Amino acid sequence: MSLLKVSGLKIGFPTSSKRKALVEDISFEMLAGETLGFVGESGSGKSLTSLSLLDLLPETLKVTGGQVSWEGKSLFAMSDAEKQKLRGQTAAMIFQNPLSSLHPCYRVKDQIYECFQLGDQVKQSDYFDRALQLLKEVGILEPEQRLNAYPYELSGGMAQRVVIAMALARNPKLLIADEPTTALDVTIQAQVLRKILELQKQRGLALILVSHDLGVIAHMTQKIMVFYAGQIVEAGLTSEVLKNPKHPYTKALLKCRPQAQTQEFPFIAGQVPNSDTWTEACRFAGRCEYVQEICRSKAVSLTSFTADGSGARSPGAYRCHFPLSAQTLTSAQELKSVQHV
Amino acid sequence: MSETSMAHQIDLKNVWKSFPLKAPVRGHSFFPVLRGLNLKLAKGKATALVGESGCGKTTLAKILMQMEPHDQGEIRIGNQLLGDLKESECRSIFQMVFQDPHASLNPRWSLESILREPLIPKGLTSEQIKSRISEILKAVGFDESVLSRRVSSFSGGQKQRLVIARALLMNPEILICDEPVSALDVSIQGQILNLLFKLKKERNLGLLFISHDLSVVRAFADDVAILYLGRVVEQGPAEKVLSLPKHPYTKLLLDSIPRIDGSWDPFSLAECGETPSPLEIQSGCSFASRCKKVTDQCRKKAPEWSLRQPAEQDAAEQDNEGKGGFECYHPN
Amino acid sequence: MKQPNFFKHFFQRLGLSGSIGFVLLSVVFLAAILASPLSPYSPIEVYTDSVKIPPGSVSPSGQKYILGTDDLGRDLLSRVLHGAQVSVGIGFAVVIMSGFFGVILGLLAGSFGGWVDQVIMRGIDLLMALPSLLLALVVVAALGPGLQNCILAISLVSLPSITRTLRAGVLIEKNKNYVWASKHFGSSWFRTYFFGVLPNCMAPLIVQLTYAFGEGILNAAALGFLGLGAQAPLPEWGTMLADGRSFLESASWLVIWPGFCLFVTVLGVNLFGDGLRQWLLSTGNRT
Repeated sequence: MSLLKVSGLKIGFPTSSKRKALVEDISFEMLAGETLGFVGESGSGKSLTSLSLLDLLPETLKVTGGQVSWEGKSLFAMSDAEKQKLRGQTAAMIFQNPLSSLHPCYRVKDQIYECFQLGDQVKQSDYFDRALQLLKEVGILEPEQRLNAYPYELSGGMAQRVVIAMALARNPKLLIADEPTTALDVTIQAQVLRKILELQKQRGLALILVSHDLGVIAHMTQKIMVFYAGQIVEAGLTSEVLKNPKHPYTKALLKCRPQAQTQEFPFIAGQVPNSDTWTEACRFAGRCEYVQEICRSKAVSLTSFTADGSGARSPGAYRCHFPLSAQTLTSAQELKSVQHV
Repeated sequence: MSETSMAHQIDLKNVWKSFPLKAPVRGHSFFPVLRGLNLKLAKGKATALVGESGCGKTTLAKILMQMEPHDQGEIRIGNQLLGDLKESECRSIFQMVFQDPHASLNPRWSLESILREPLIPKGLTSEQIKSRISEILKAVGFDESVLSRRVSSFSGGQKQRLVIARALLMNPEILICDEPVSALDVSIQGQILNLLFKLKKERNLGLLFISHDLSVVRAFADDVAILYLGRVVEQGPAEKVLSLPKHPYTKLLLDSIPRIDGSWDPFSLAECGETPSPLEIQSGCSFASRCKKVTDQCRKKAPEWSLRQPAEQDAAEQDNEGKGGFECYHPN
Repeated sequence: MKQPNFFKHFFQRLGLSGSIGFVLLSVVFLAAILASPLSPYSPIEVYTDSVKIPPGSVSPSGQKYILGTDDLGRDLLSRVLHGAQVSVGIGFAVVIMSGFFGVILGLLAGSFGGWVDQVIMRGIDLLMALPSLLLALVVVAALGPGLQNCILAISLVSLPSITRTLRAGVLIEKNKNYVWASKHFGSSWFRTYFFGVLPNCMAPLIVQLTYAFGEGILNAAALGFLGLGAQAPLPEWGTMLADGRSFLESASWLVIWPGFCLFVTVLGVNLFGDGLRQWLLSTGNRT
């Protein structure tokens, strides 16, 4: 049985508002121990999707369609008590800014104890030892001193490790990490990412990593989903997608990472279209270098495929009328580009 | 034209800057941010200043813009000292572009008011102001019709181009860019970088490009200076420094950048701890607490600046300054 | 934007209570503007044969008094309507005075900091140390009773909140890059702060001024009640309350109607202010 199953997820505005949905048609499945990356830029919907998995959407937004099931049980059929159990025991989430995830007025140990109190796995007499063990597990040096510290006394990297420790306090089966290292220095980022990978392997954790950084996703996840304008535009095995992208957006995004000294920096002309203008047709059409007339008018849906025709679950999907393959990448088409200022 | 406009170099020697602490810590009442910094900036070149939080790069930018005075050391602009420059002169040499484009432009003003503001104290006629503004707008890829628009109608990338336009109105020699693309999506960073590159070539504009993103620096900069705890620990041509780093910290930075091609392995990076507080460093190399190659010598006395030795094919290079250098007893 | 859309948008943003407040205030404003045409009689004209006529009744000489008359034979409805004029006028006067000085002081304190900030804020602290009514009383006692001095005193009472609101706004905006850019390009203090920073501080200021409007009316009524505000025969609700107090049993309408008007006005101001605050100051976080 899958740990998490999402089908046709749609997130939008609750009232009879005429505003379009911000996220649509999200479907995926997670088994124990799998790692999945959500990649996208601002406004793509990746963060909203990750929040909706644990019913943590802000009050102004709501899931307006689709299903989210944890271990077979629908999220929306759960009572509040069951959801409380879900959060922390089945799945946990960590966010971008560790210093706003921690309460500034309470010591680290009290915040970790609070996590234990929410479950019933740890006896009160064992709180201190368990907390110490957790801090050691996440790689904090001098854990005894850190337990008594206040969050403002911690550096960014240490604070994020404390947040990870709190997330793992009740031994969840899945960790959702929303840009966990974006706010950290690059040398600390590498260490924290390494620690997350280590923990993932040691505990057999499933991991959903949300990031805008393709390099981070490339190393941390086995599967990837690329978000653009509220939809998944490409999904599949990370190594495959990054080597042979099928969707022009993925390809363009890959090109944007400067690798060597260059005179001309690639970028994607234009902007993400305003959510009010989203239609069933391709939302990337205005910026795509391979765009054809049909792209702007015909509805485009997610097409799944299997690598060799066998296997119950498809390893890939793309949302494009003219997916890229070795044949379509001719030099003539490479030169054709749509430039806007 | 003043003497300073014929300057070819901005030269910082042994610059110190400390901030007073509200309460003494470990017997110190001042927090040193810049600790004897040496740096040379050449006109018409893009020099990247790379470092993580706490290295002093933003403080350095503020000092160059005369927003803060430095405590010790010498800063020369050509043959004049920075401290001797009048504000108006300084304004026509250095201009700054910040990280957050949304906070850099007054959200309540029209674009026209924003662009007129720098030109008003100069006493130009209305005609001159108008033509100057349209010239600058064209240089950053806009036409005059955008003038009447409210600032809030522009996207982040467009706002950043307008901030650059405003900075160019003063015809500066050096544009200090403090993380100019970090707040923008990856897919539009290239637009800003292209613009800066174009301006550098067309106007012989020097760029001091402050960034923590080495992948952008690698592609963009001519020269790179690595800052660590208020000192430049390595400087040199970007190509050389980033492909053959000499200083262990440079190597650590490079190794920490995630790479898509699968060659990146964070497990190979041993735990190297975190940046210590500068108050903890009594003597010796600043990087000693995190360096894998540290010896007693490193802890006792800070290393001197050594020049990079040229490879055989570069033996023709005569300009010692151009080769760059580093301060380490055990370079790679 | 089409007309109906605008109103719907407006009331939606204000919320239910804010819209109710808006409606109540509109009624009061209308009464104030149209006081003269709407009043059946002059507010200060004394009809000696119509003393203490109950509401709806007719005087011996055949004149109808919708709200009755007071102990001097003046029509209550006309007095109440003109009282709206007086109160709304006081409210605006207070807003203008405390707004003007509050903005200047707030800008100075926030932008300069240092001893300027200290001096201004300690002065403000002094003003806040006294309960508002007591402060108003002290000022009026020193300057003498009357409408103008009453307005001056009340403006002083509302001054601290305006100053502090604006100072807080300036402190927040001061750190933003556009302020630095403005200063860096050599703009004068006036241009940087008055034209640059002030427009970005308007939202909390508008809300605060709305509350000051209500506060002003209420304080003026209190002073009037004590005989230190508007002087006879000027119809002011507070003064009318004081005058009607002695007739609580025999002519209760003399207390009920002015009191009711005060209640409606202040309620309207507060509800509207809350609605405005919700509209202007709420930041919806859209991920």
